[in-house]
Amino acid sequence: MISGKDKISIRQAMYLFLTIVASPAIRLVPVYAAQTAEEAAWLAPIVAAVILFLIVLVWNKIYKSYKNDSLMNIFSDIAGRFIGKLLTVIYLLWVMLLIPLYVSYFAVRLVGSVYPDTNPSIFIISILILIAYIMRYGLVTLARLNEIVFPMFAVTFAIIFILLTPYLQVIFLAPVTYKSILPVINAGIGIAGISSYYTFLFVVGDYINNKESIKKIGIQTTVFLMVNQILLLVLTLGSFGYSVIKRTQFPFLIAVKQISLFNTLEKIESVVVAIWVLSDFVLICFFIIIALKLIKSLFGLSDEKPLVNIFMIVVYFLSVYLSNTVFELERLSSYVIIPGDFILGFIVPVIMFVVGKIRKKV
Amino acid sequence: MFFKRRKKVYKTDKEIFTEKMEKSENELTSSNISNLIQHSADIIFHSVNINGNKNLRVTVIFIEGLVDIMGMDQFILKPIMQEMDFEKCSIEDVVGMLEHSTLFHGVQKIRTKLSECVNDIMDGSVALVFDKVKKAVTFDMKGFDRRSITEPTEENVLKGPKDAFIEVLRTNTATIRRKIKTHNLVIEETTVGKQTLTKVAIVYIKGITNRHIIEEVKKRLDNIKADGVISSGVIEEEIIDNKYSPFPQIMTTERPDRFCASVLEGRVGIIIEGLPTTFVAPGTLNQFLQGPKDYSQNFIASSVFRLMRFTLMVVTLLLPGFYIAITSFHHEMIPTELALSITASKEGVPFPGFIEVIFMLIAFEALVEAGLRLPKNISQAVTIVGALAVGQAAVEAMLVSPAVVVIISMTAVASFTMPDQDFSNALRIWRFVIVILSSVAGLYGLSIGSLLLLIHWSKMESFGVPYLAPFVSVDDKQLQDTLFRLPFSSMYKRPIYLKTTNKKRRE
Amino acid sequence: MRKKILLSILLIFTLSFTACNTPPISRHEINDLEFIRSIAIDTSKSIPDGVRLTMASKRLDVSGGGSSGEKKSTKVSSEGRTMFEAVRNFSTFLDKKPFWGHLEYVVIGEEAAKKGIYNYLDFFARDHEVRMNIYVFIMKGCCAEDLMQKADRSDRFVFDRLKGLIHSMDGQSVSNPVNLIEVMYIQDLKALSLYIPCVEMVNVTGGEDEDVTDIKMAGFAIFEKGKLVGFLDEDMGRGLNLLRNEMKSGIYVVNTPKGSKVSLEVINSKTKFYPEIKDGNLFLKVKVNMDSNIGEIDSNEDIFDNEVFTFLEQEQSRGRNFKGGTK
Repeated sequence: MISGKDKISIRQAMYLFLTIVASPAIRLVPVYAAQTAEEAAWLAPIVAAVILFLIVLVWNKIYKSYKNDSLMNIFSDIAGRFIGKLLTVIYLLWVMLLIPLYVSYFAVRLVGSVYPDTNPSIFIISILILIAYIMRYGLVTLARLNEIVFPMFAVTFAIIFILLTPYLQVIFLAPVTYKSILPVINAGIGIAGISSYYTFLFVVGDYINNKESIKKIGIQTTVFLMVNQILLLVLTLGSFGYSVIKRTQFPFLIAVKQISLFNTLEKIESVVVAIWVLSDFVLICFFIIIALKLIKSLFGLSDEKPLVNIFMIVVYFLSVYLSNTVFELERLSSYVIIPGDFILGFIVPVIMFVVGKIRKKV
Repeated sequence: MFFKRRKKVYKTDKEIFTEKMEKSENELTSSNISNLIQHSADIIFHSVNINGNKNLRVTVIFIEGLVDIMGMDQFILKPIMQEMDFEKCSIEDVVGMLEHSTLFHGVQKIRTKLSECVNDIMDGSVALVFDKVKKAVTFDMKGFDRRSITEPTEENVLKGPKDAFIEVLRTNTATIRRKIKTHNLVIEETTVGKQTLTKVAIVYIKGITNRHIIEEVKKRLDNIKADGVISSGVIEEEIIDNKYSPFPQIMTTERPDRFCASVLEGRVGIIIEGLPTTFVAPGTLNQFLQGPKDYSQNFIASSVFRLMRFTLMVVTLLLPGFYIAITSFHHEMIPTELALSITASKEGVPFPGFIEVIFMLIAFEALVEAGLRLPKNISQAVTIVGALAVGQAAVEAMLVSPAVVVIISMTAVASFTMPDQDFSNALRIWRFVIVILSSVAGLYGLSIGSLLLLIHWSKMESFGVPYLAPFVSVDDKQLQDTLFRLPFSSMYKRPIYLKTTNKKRRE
Repeated sequence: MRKKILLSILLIFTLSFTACNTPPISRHEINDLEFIRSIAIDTSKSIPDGVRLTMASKRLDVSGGGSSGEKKSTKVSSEGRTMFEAVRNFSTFLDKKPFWGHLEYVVIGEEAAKKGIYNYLDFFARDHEVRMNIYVFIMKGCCAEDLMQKADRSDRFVFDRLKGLIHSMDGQSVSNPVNLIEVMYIQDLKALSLYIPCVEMVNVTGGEDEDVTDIKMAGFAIFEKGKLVGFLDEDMGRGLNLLRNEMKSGIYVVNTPKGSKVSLEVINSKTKFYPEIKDGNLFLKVKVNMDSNIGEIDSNEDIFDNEVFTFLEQEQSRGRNFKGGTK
């Protein structure tokens, strides 16, 4: 009996945010950071956390004036209807690029690590059918599901970290000198690109309660994310060294592969992959909800639920034909997606904030 | 506001009868009553002259077997026959005196309508019908045989009270009143069932329970279109939110202490006449994993056992699927020596892994079902014999491999630790689903299966409270009573998802 | 509602029909797999510039009911132009599908190593089934295949022997196990050349006067740019371990001034590097801090005084002190 049936609280929204960032982070962060900042890469998340914190403050301030609006309404209000609609279109196109990317990444990751010689379409179709099932019940069900999935993910991660501590070698993480500051900042900006999904969260801003605690919960989220990413980098870099991580495809998976505890618990990477399936499911489902809400606001529809089935079919075709090889995906991801995420997630809200301050609306 | 608006469109037989009687203006005379009900041998019509006076005629109508004959004789018939004051009165005077309680009985009602009088008679009251003035006085004198309060059959606790609910509504409500003595305890009654006219009582504490839940429970009970309420399933199915889910959504219990503890938390209790099991709405997932022993044992021991129960729930759901997944798809997960021995033990077994598991699961279900039918003293022996002998013979005949037998027996043992029977049944069904899914796709199938289950749980709501509460949808997480049981001093607030009016338990 | 039921029935039927011949996700029963434990890599004599692989796998054979069986090892060789081709050719010689998830030891023959070892190790790094912490060995002498075939006895399989060798390496510290990840890592370092422990076969006279082949640890093999350039014998091997600060334990036998032999057991050893600059050149001073136990004294000489201790320490620091192995 939450007051207002379709609303979720800001804490649930933050859990959603953490799950959404965790899955791409495991994939992107070690490789990107190792490429840019070498041994000192494990300090890069601190920079990313600072950037995220700034955005949290920006949104906190914006939501002090607009109590219950979604992103699109805020933009239309601050910058005029035309620019608001234009931004909605841009966000929609961007999300329509992200969804097939993540779906095909999900299928490719499963095929590449645990299920060789399998047609990725099977994974894509099965996960899309499941998403179509949950879409009937809306955002609330997804948030509740996530409140179960996220602790599972966090606990698994903590256990893996504890199990991997005997394999860490500090020599791989040192030396950190003044010369590494610039590469660290570089890597930090790249990593922050993933945390920019914070802005996308507010597309469903009119369904989120308790916006007064954005700042407090935002701080907790930022700290958690920072610790999580630092641990992830220490895990992967500390076991193998940056030069090996730069070249591998699934560094976390390889790190997990070498765990061997008392000769009983070995090769638990399949369990990790199963947890990944769950968090990828939440991620893709969330973005589909965002896309449908953007379409709803763009075309002024009253309800977006009937569109779900058609949308699934469109997503299926887009993800199968997005790219043929995984290397294209990686290129796309590091050269196009990360900068784009950064712009849409950080720079646009900051510009809006400044414009809003000028126009005395915020 | 957020429950579906359901209008009451259905009328019980009692109401139809009442309307008919009112329309046709039937008068309250004994001949009319005898037209309606004098078809059974146990409905007694007895004409009496008050005090021997032939002008004062009264008809005594009652159902033999339902009525306490001794009490009726002593406190109703005897005074009527012998009371000296009646000697010189007319009928109207007599009725007037009876109205002001000349007779030694507490519960009496004056009836002027035919339908009310007939309903009272069918319920177990003695009716004194005065034909001349068309009035009747009814006395509630139920005196049928009832089972005495015994030990509960299913949920037994060492340090707790050993009384259980019985089939009589009034005794049950008395048991509850003895445990909760506050004047705020409200017991409302309603009638359900077209032919059976069963009384259903709703129990809550005014000032604690959220009124939306109370109203919703009342509304749903009123809307039950059943012919008769003989088994608990009739009411349970109609008032829960999701009929198509195998999971129980309201808690059933036959122990008054568990019932009262839940009512004190802010839930609404439902007692049904004729059934010793009671319901408590709304039901959430963690209630089905709580055993009654948890509150009488040391909190550290209870916490450990509760954690174990949660883990065993996961084990019983996922273990067979996990075994199939790693022996058919992900062989690298097994330690090498174990892999070699599983391979060796499977040598000669013609079936693939998942066929063995499904076969053993079905065999196990058959054994459990058979154990239910047999009388108690044989059933244990049969199950043991079945498990050991048949299992051993099957392994020797190379129908199944020993590893599968071990896995299935661990699963079986884990499923018996579930405190609630309905929940355990639901888990069994889902276990099959997960086994099938993981035999198709390995660990991916296992994760899809568990995802399906989680989605199923996430969308379920029971009377507006999410099924997975308190793990989800509450900001101020109160996990003191879920995965573990922290000491009572730490549980100082009522469960927050019940939105109670009075939040603090301890001041 | 009826449409949904019909649709789901249709869907299930289509899925089951496609899964008729081959399931969409490949499924193997566990008793259809051959668990390969160790593999030997050689150059092929019949195919120019090819490889010859010999694998040893473990099986538990069950006779009759029950699960107590005798352990057996299967050895099969196959050839191909590249590693992957040779691996794929294995399946033509085996009745069960080869499974690489439990591979633990890779032995590379001397000739193959001289040609360049990265060609062979790339397959192991890239394959998804192979674990990354498999141990790599170099075989001194001609063919690693001989190791697989001859050193394999029914009571002591070759992979168990290799496992025993790895566990015993700490005892004398003349060698150090290196796994695949470390090979990859060392290759990236510019300042360290790759070193891999090497083994050689020796003949041992058995109980009934037959010659039994056994494996012995023989120091390290040194590589440059992936090609074998030389070997370090046992003494030098110990020196390398000292330099890399990986000396775990070992026995030093020194003579006292009066001529009796004392066995010193190393319990703790720490190495530190001190860079110095002399005449514009960079020198590296290596300081080794070693704690030892007196394990055994040859005679009844009383050596427990300070002068004898300093003498023993000086003798110990001279090195060149390992002699051992079976004859």
